[in-house]
Amino acid sequence: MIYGKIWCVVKPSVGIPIIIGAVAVASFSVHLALTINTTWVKGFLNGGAGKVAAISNETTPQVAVLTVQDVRK
Amino acid sequence: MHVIQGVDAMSDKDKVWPTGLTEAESEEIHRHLIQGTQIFGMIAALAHLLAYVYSPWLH
Repeated sequence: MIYGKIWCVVKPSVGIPIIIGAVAVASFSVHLALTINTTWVKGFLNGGAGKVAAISNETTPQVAVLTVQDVRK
Repeated sequence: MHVIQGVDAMSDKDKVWPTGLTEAESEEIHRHLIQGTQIFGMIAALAHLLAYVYSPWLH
């Protein structure tokens, strides 16, 4: 197997955490960048709730008006 | 005589290297590492496929 003898000169207790850590940091960075730099991730994670709330605010007709009468007259 | 002993030492499969492993042990660890990487890669590919299908990503 190619590079199979690397663990003769690199301690596995050092090399393997470095490899796994590098993969973890790279993966986390990419996903964090996606979350920060796009708008659809937040909407997607809100699921249907966010969509319903947004629609109901725009399309629900007004059914009542609250008025406060001035009783000091 | 010394050269012959040196050659024998170089090709000795039971030689313990500075990390405390023999070549066979090193290759065994590497085999498991490669297998783990392949399994991780397959799970990651599946996860990205699901994300592509069910999220707005790349649409």
